[in-house]
Amino acid sequence: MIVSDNKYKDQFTLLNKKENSLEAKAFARFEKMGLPTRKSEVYRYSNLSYFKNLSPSINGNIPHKIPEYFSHDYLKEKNVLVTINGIFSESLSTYEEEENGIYISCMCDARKEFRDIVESHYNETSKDYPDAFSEMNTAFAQCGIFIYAKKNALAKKPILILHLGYAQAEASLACQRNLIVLEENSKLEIIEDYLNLDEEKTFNINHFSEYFLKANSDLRINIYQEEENNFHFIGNKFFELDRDSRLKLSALNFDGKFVRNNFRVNLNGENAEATLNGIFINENEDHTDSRILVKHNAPNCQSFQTFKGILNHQSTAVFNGKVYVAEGAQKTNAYQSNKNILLSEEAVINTKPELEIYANDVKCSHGATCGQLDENAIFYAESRGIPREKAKKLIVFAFAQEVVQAIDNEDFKNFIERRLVHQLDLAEYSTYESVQSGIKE
Amino acid sequence: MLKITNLHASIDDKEILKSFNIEVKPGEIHAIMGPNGTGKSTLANVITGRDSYDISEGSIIFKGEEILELSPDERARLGIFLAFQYPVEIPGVSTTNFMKAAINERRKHQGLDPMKAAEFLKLMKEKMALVEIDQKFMSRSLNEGFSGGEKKRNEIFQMAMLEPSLAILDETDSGLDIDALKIVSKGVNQLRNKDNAFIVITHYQRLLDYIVPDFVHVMYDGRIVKSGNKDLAKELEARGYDWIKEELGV
Repeated sequence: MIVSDNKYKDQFTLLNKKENSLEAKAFARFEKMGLPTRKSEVYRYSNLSYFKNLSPSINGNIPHKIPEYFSHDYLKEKNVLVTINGIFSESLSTYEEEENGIYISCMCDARKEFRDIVESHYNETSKDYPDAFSEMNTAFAQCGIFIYAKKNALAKKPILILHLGYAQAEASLACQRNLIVLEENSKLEIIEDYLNLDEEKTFNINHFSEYFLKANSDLRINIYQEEENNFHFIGNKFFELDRDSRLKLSALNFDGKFVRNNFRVNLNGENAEATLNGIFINENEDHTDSRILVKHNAPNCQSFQTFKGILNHQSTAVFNGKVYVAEGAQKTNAYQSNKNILLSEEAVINTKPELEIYANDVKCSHGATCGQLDENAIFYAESRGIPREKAKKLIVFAFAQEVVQAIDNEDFKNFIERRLVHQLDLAEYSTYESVQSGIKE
Repeated sequence: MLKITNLHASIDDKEILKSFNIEVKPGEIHAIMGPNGTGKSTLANVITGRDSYDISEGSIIFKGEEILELSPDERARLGIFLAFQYPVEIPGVSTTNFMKAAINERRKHQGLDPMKAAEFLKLMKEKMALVEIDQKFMSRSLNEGFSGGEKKRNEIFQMAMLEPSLAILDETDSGLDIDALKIVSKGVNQLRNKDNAFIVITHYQRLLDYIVPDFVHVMYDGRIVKSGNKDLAKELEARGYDWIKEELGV
């Protein structure tokens, strides 16, 4: 579908980009593709009509003043980067990692100060799989975050990125663009947290981050997305992994009205390893769409995907995880699992695990399940005196544990556990930790 | 303590219990034996309150109260406990958390505050020692990856924690080696007192050498067809069930 609506054209003209610029080329590609429809396989189960009514924001509308918000203090030690409506806010951010070889700035400054790095990486990940939203993002990119870890750099503290929404212009879509480059042997930990400070206005983001992991570097990303009714998110995160590098990502979604996470990982060098885990807990009319493509382009790489869905009421979710093993990527070890619990008759999950293999000496497994809660387990708990509703919640809590326990930032893990306890109203059962640690003594 | 009268229970329109009667008094141990498919596990499930059965007739009076309309958790809090034939694995819930939830749920209904962590810990340790369970099992997911014997010991451990008035052991001895059987039996015998009662469902007389019953009942085609003392179990062991069928003329 060609974009018939001129609003994109009009908006783009206002940006005054040069004819041959990266932005203009991306815009041309976007115009040609148009917003995806349901005929597009990769968006088949997600209704994008809401996004059709939005226009990309072009003037960095950072409000002068934002309301005080409950600071996310679940991390004892942290650098804090703040974006508002998709734009990096230097003044609200506090970080100190430069002495450790980690440079952080807004993308606009990075284009000047780290010109070579930016030019050799920016938009390099989006070549082989065209996607309308990432093209739109490139055309309308706002000034996001740039993080550069020098060779051997080790961040002392995790980097917490708070994505705040506030007073976003009506019917606008923030095209947030970030670039993260880890040089050889460097290590970073990032936690991304989304929060809409505006009770009246929705928070709409088209997020696009590119990550480059050079040899033997290590990146951990935890993403926490929770917004009741006013959060619409389309996210593309594309990763390029060189030899011996490691990526570990956990995506925790609670109650997103519309959340699409598209993770694409290229394992380009031998012995690279990617772990992607996720939970989506949907209620009412929430919709989450998790799309993962892991490409094994080199031999001896490993990838692991564990995604769990918990769906209640009329909520819907999509999981499409694909492992692609290129010719010559021998000794690939790939695992993929998507398990779902449907708590109501009306909830719907569309799950599609896929394997595409062009090498002959590989170990790949995948599977998807969806079902109701195990009646035997419920009865077992009931027979010990636990009321049925509580028993169900306990089992749902347990179901999520595989992903929660795999989070390797203890503070963040505890936060997610508490969040889950709150979500499931299990507070009275939640003083477990003391007992468990006591037992180990 | 328990009085079941003329109980009829069916599942998917198939009648399993047909006019079942039993009376269990405090301090007693009743063994229920019988060939496969005669309704022994159904009986255990129906007393515990599993809702997949239709009860068309009869009554179950427990501590003077009709319990047929009560949910399984309500029955559990009144003091009924089932040691499962096939204990369920619940990945992600540790035995500790599971027991804490169960105990505090009961305390809540008794109007008591949740048990203090230290007190709970002490109780756990004491009861674990009783069935010789290693403490490391307590923080592991409930029954997940446990051997058959470990699962059954965990059932007796849970029983010891909850101190029920009436415990039903559904083939707790099946699949147990003699050492595990002795441990399980020791646990049961130590918990036994004049105020509680046990219904022991088993295929094998062997268990009854360790848990000595006051009554042995033979169940056939959904009801008790013969009752006696522990010698009846020995006779069944020696002669099988055919002579009973002959006596019944079937």
